[in-house]
Amino acid sequence: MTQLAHANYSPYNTEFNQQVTFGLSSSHSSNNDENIYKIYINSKISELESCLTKLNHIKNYQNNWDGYNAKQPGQLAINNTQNLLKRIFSLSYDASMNWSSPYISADSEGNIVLEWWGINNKKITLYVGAKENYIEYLKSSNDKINEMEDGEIQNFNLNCYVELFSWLNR
Amino acid sequence: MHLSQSNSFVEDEEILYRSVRLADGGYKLENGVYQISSSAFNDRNMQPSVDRAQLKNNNPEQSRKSKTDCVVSLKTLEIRNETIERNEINYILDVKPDPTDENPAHAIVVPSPEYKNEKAFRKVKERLARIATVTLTPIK
Repeated sequence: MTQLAHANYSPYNTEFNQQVTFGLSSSHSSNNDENIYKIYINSKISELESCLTKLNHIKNYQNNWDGYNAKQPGQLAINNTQNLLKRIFSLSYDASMNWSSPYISADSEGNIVLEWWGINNKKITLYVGAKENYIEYLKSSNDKINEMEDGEIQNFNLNCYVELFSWLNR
Repeated sequence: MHLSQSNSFVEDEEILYRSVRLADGGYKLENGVYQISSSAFNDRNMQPSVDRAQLKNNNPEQSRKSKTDCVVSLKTLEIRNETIERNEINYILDVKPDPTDENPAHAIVVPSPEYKNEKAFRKVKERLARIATVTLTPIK
């Protein structure tokens, strides 16, 4: 199992720690609030760990793992997904938004598939392949195929995160 | 033979089953609700397999591939009502019989024309996941 150091985990060096530290010193002044916040952070880190563990499990899929001739998920796709998840985790703090774990699976072409269900039937699906810093997405909000929006994102950044996940929970 | 049991055509009214695997990330159970992943309809040929319920005695258990699978139902007409427009191509979906020796009830969801790439198929998978109804829950 992938182990992360709880409470002082820093997926992107100082950003994460600064976010936590600032949060504790400014808006969570009492010890009680501090403890609640640490518990919250640790539970979120546990969720991220579970995602990374799931990816390690998917790493073991072989060709035809689904019985429908699917390709084995590529190692690069798995590495890129690990990096993306850590990045999204960090960005959620930068944006002061709630991290939620995606549902993780794979498709027939060896891409990793991340799915988040939001409110009002909204859903975001990200496809992560072998190309570094590149993902494809699909946004759907109802049953109409032609109203689904798909696209590509290079260098997933704070703006991308806020745009996608604000929409999901709006 | 009754028309609905024809090997040459799937009637609009026919119900279709698909066994959805937990191990492959086909569904999740959250707060007592099953969420079907678009990955439940993965298919390398972009023609997801289904079983015709009438040829399975309307018994979804006969379509279940493993105890941890759930079986979802889809309505043929709902699938046929779909058109997907992408890059100025209009794809129309159909359900066609594809019986095999092992599974005479086998059918496939096919587009016309064939998908040019995977992006249109991803939308179809998403749509299928949305219209799929869980008919049989996993055996605990």
